[in-house]
Amino acid sequence: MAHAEGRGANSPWLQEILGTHVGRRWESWVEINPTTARKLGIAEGDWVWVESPLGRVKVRAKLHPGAKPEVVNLPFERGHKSYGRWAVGYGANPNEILAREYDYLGGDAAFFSTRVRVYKATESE
Amino acid sequence: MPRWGMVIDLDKCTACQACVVACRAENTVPFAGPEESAKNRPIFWMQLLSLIEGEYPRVRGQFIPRPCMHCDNPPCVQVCPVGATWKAEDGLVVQDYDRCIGCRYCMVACPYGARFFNWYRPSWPTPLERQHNPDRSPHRPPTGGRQGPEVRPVGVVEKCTFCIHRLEKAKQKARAEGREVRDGDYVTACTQTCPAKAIYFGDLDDPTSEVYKLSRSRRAFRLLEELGTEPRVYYLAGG
Repeated sequence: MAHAEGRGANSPWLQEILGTHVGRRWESWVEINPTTARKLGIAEGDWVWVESPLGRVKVRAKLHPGAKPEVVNLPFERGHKSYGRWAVGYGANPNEILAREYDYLGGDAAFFSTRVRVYKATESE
Repeated sequence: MPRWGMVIDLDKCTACQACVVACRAENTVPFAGPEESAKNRPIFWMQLLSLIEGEYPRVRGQFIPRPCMHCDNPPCVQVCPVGATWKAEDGLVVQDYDRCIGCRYCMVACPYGARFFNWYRPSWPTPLERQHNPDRSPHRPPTGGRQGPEVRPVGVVEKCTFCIHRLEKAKQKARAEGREVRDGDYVTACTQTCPAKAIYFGDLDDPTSEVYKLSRSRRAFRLLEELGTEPRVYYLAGG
């Protein structure tokens, strides 16, 4: 879809169809298992911080039964700092909080091993 | 006269949304932008609906491309107070933008959410205007009304037309050849673009056509069939 390392981000048509299953267009979201979200006091559509030792990103919560209870899912593709008027400033970039780890067998970046904390964003943030 | 209809094979569909983008390109549908999108106002004549059921780890997701169903018993036509939408003689549910007063009764009546209101002035900042379908001359097909990929004004309702401008072209060609328009003379933009070839389009009454056979297959069903709307779009699943 709009993927390919975020190179599809600078297209308004693609910005508008990414995230159709979560109802989020032009912005990022974090998929949280509904049971986990309830424990964390997070409701559908809440602004939340996803924080790792490297930083934090602010996104909207999506309660998604497909998310593993201990794992939250952030989409790549959004949160560009440059790259065009349709790409800059929409959503958040999960690379900012991704641990500098690699997969010891394959040598590829380890996209799924970052430990994060998820908490509700306050009004002023 | 052909009974135009569509069959969408959900087992083949990969939910890539190429149909959604092709439809927007073909029919000059503007993008909504972030502000209007947040108000849930983008227009999608062809839209990917998603259905996610169950609880982890037993979760099932189903993606359903949804054009206008061109129902044989359309609820939208019944509620229109000004006759801006009707069943054309070839069975397509057409919409006249000049007659539409923007009351949006039809949007409430349509159980498929296939109708969309023009809340904002369409804009195509340079160079996006080059994406306009060149075939958008304001034409009035014999079905009546102003339709097709011409840009719509603010305040009217619009929806999928089964690419009526392509149908008009096919009809003209058939007339020039001294015959009636028939199955295979034209397909919609979504059918043409589908990389998985999951969308079939043709004459539901022609026993030799693919849609005739597929719409009668055991895998075929229609959305919200129980409402009695008699949609002309069939889905295949569970094969």
